[in-house]
Formats: sequence, structure tokens, C-alpha cells
Amino acid sequence: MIFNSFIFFLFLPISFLLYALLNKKTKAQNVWLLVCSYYFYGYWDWRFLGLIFFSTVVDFIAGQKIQNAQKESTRKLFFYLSLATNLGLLGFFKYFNFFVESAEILLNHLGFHVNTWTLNIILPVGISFYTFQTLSYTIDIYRKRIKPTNDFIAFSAFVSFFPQLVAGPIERASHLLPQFLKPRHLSFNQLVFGSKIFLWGLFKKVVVADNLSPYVDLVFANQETYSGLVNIIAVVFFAFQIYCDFSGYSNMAIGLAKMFGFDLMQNFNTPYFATNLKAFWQKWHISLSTWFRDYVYIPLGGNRAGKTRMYLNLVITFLVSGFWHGANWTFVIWGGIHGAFFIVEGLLLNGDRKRWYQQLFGMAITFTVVCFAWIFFRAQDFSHAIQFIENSWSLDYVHVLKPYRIVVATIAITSLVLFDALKKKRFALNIYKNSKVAQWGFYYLLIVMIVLFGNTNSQEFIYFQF
Amino acid sequence: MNRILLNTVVFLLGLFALLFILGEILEIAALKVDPNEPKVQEVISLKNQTYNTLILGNSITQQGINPIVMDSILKTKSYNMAIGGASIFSMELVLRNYIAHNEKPKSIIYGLYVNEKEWPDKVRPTLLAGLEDSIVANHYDTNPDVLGTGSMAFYNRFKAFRYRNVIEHYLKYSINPKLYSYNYSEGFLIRNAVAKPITSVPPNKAGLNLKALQRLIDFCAEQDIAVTLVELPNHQAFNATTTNRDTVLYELNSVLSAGVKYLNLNTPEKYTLEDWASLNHLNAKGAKKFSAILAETLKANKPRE
Repeated sequence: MIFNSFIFFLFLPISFLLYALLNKKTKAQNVWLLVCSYYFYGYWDWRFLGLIFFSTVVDFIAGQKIQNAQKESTRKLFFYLSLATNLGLLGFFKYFNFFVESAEILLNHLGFHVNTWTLNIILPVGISFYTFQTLSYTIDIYRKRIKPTNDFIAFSAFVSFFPQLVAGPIERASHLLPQFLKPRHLSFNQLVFGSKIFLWGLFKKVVVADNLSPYVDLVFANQETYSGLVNIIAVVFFAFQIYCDFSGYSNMAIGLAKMFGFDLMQNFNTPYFATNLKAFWQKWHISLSTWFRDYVYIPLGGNRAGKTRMYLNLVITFLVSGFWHGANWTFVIWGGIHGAFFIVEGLLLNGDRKRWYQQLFGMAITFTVVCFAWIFFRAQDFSHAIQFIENSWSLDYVHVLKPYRIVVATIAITSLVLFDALKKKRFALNIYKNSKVAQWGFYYLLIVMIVLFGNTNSQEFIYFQF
Repeated sequence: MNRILLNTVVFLLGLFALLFILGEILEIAALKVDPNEPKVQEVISLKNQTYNTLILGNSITQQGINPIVMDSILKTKSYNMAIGGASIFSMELVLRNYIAHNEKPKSIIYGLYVNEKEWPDKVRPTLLAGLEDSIVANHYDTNPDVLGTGSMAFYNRFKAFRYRNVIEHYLKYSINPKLYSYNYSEGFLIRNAVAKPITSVPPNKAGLNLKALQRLIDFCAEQDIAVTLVELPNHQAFNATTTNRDTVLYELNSVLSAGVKYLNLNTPEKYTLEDWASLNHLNAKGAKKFSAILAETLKANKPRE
């Protein structure tokens, strides 16, 4: 079930109404949330439920055992058990075929001709997200940063919380789990506030992302026939498509959680306004980048062992981050490009870009680098990405998309950029806060744009595949 | 709390009022600037007609086959039921709807467009709103290949959604009002505009929704309606950049059962620039030429009685 589907708009009021009726009965609300979340997830494929339940049980027990263990070896044993289970599931469902195929290619290159076989594995939706969320729970217990919960229902509801189950934000147990253990504050005001955030996310998804996707899909699926400006527009469109698709989902998740009285972390903060790559990663998929910072980069040594080691740690973190996105070398290369440019930026840039033209230049350079990396992220494979880049240098026509679609896409992107820019300006915020006309006008405009330009075909979110 | 509740109620009432007004405006605009809308309304309101040949297809057929020319040669009574942007599936629904209210035709001519691959089983919202409820329930709602049936049924209740395509037409109309000078005759869209010289055409990959075509053929067989599939001419420049055509035509053979004829009349060399309205749409002059060719071909292929 996806947020922009018709069935979800039936599911949401039912789940919310009963939840509201159970107000102040925290345990009963958790049971209901668990039922709703399992229904939500099982709507894709009920077989996935066994997997999430297994992962929940293992981490719940592992958390208890790590906490109660008298010996360090026992603590370690259960910690590694949790790690092995979660990473094992992820490795099997997401990477098994990739490893087999890569090994076959490598062995063939080395002159060993082997016959391998792959499995017809269905990738469970959102497995990378909930695996990382539950992993943070056991890691933090092992590091003695949090204490495990004894409430299995609350823990299960935390792991499977439907607003953020399949595409994040990847919440830390230290932030989200306590919210399941204490009474939530439900109010009409909060419901309205959550609805506004949800609406903004829906706009980004169905008006911007879904209107850009036909163009992007067409060009990337027919790389042998498109080139020049067509390709460049496709990459820029993809940059906005993926941003609006993913940040739109995050907004919807945050808005939904807010309706139910939960507070989720911010996942995006106008990333394309970043004036350097470091700032970009502080604004893009924040929950994942901070996860990698805390659980990969810092344990590797972070910046504590000199610059060379720091850069090495950065590259490793980016490569792993790329690999997290999918079982394809293109994702690893995408991570590698970010890592490489991060180093270049660290070596060449000193001091802040304070003047407006420096900031503008910084934004342009950062956006260009990010777009260049997106080519690998979006391409089917490495050779397609290279062909795409080569073709981009030639001069060619632009009439791939109907002019009307170009107009809609341009309006959508412009309104998004304008909104993101204005929300940083004090005068705009003041007008918005103090004027009901401005507030209502804004939401009327969003709804009208969704009705007039929204893609109602319930297209899946890009990040579900990860 | 009461104030927030009141604000929300006022907001929602304002929203519904806004959407209502917008819907009314768009509906009026649709009938004025969307050339397909008057045709959609005409097609779904046909009652007690006795046409023996119906011409189905999309805009290429709608402005490419003139029933009057056909009838003068074949001595038939035909009607061009094609609608701009119509998928094969929506034509099947239109045919079912027609049969529910009119005398069954003896034959149909389907203007095949081999670049329909991008078109899944989509149906124009205003057409869907006008179809018989039983046809929607039995053939649209139950079709697993239709995207978002539930959401479509919901959104389609709002006129602002149903008529939203008119914005595209309005933009085109604002840029080139000449494109919107048209007339209808027996469902045939008469366009006199002449295309500008066509030089470069973007690459396009041929494709066809064979599943939908098979369903249409099966339905016609069930109703004992003869089917002729005909390919209308595309501009030479368009044909030159089309790939995958041979594969599509090979696959097409798999659905050609006994009694279903396929005529390839995609012969752009027979037409001059004055015959084209746009890239692969004939104008009235070109349609007259093509309709005569089609009628003569059908006449020549007709079994002797």
C-alpha cells in the first residue's frame, strides 16, 4: 500500500479513528498501530510479514540478552547474533544474486570458467530501512547508550511503524522507541498540522516527481537514441524527481506520524541549495547519512586519526552507502563519486562562501556534481551510464516531451524551488505566519495543483526498491 | 479547539466551492477548445442509429478516414467513432456502449497505430463518466491492466479533475488558434490546416497493446462483427525514425484470427505536404485521398457474392 494510492485514503481514516478512540490507552494504541502496520506492509505481499516479525523477535531478545549479560563474551555473542541476522537477511534478499553474478564475472576474467546459479528472490519492500532501524537498537544497547524495552508490542510497533516503515526516515530507537512507551498527545491542531505536512509531500510526489518521471524514464530507457540537451534535461529532471519523490515520502511520513502523535526526524532540508558537498550531505537523506556517520564512519576512526585516514574513512562510508542503495555497481560508483568529490572539496576549499555570488557558484558546482553522480544512480548499468555521458556532449533536439509537459514540469520545479527558497526568508515566513489568506491560499493552491496536474496512477516511490 | 474546527470547516467548504467553480469553468472551456470533447459527448449520446460500419481508433483515424468518401464508394452507412488519444481499450468500451443503445454494426475498421505501446488500458475521464454504469462495472473496474481504477472512480467525480486536460488544449490554443479550427461530419474531424515542412523527428519505438487488441477482436467475434485493421499513413520523416516496426507487425500476426483483415496502407509517398495537418495526421485533403484508397482496397478485397 502506498501513500498516494486510493486504498491508503480508505485505510488512513479507519486506522486513525480507532486510534483516536483509544486515546490515553497507550498499550491498546500500540496493539492497534501494530495491526495497522502489519496490514499496511502485508498489503504488498503477506509473506514479507514473517521476515519483519523474525527480525523483530531476534532484536528484541538480543537487546534483552545484551543488557542482562554478565560476561562481555555473552554481550558480544548476542550483539553479533543480531548483526548477523539483520545483515544476513539483507545480504540474502538484496545481494545474493549480485554476489554470485559478480563472482562469476571475476572468475571468468581470471580464466576460471564456472557455472553458477542465481535464485529468483523477491526483494521485500523497505528491508534496508527497517533493518537499519532495528540494527541501531541493538548497536545502541551494546554501546550502553540506551536500555532495552521489556514491552514487545511497543518494540514491534516501533520496528513496523507504518508511516516510515518502507522508506524512512530511519529513526533511532533512542528517539522513536520512547514515544511508543509513553502516552501520546492527540489533538485536532496536530491532526491539521500533520495533514498540512502530508499535503506538501503529496504535492511533491504526484505533481513534481510523477510528472517528471515519464521524461526521465523515456530518455534513460532509450539511451541509444537520445543525446545532447535531451540527456542533460533528463538528468536535471531526475535530480528533482528523486528529491521530490523521496522527500515527498518523508514529508508524508512525518505528517502521518504527527497525526498519530509521533515526532519523526527531519530527513531533507533543501539539499539543492547546499553550497558544497558536505552541506549537501547534511541536508540530503539526513536519517541515513547520520546513521552511516554514527555506525560506520565514526567506528572506522572518523577524523581522529589524521587527514589521510579520514578521507579513506569517508570513501569507505560513501561506498557502503552506495551499496546500501542497491545491488548494482552503479550505486557503488555513485557513492564513490560523492566520496571522491568530498575529498577534492576538502583539499581545495578553505573557508566559507559568504558572498552571494560565491554561494551561487558553490550551489551550481555542487548541483552539477550531484547531477553527474545521479547518472550512475539512475542508469541500468555502468556501460549505459558511460554511453549516456558520451551522448550528452552532442548537440541534439529537445522535443522529446510534449511542450505542455515541459511547461507543467517547469512550473512544478519552479514552484518547488521558490517555496524552498522562500521558507528560508524571514519576510516570507512572517507573511505566512501572520496572514490567514497567505496560509489558506498556499494550501488551496497545493490542492488545486494536485487535482489539476497530479498523476493519479499511484506510482510507487523510487526508494521503495532500496 | 472550536476555533480550529470552525476554521477547518470553513477551509473545506471554501475548497469544495473552489473546486466546483473550477470544474464548471473547465467544462465550458473543454467544449470550446478541446476538439475531442464535443466528439466524446456525441459518441456517448448516440442512440437508435443504424450504421453498418464503425470506424474506430485515435486522432489519426479521427481525422484520417472520411466516412462520406467511404460510403460513396462502398455504398455503406458508416460513422467515424475514433477519438483523439483513445487507447484500444477505450475504443472497446465505446463499441460496447454503442451496441447497448444502437443497432449492432456489421463491421468495424480499426485504425491501427503501431506506436501505442506507451498507452496502457487508459480511458479518457470524460468518456468514462459518460459510459453505461454496467459497462464500467463489468469491463473497466474488472480489468487488472487499468491503472488505479479505484482512485480514478473517486477523482473522476470532480469535474475539475475530469476536465483538467483542457488546460493542455488551452495552452496549445493560445499558441496557435488555427490548429483549433475544425468541424465534424459523421464523426470525421475535418481539419484544413496544412503542416509546416517537417524536417527532424525524434526517434520513436513502435509498439502495440496486443492484449487490448486481442480483447477487442474477441468481443467482435462474439458479436459477429467483421474486423478490418488498417494502418494509416505516417509522415515519411516519422517512419524513417521508427524502430521496432517489423517486430510489432510480426507479433500482430499472432492475434490475426480468421476473419480479421490487416491492411497496411502506411504509404506516405502517395501524399504531398498539402495532405498533412501535422506529423502523422492527415488534413481534410489528405483524408479524402486516403479514404478513397481505403475504400477501393476494401472493395477489391471484398469476397464476391
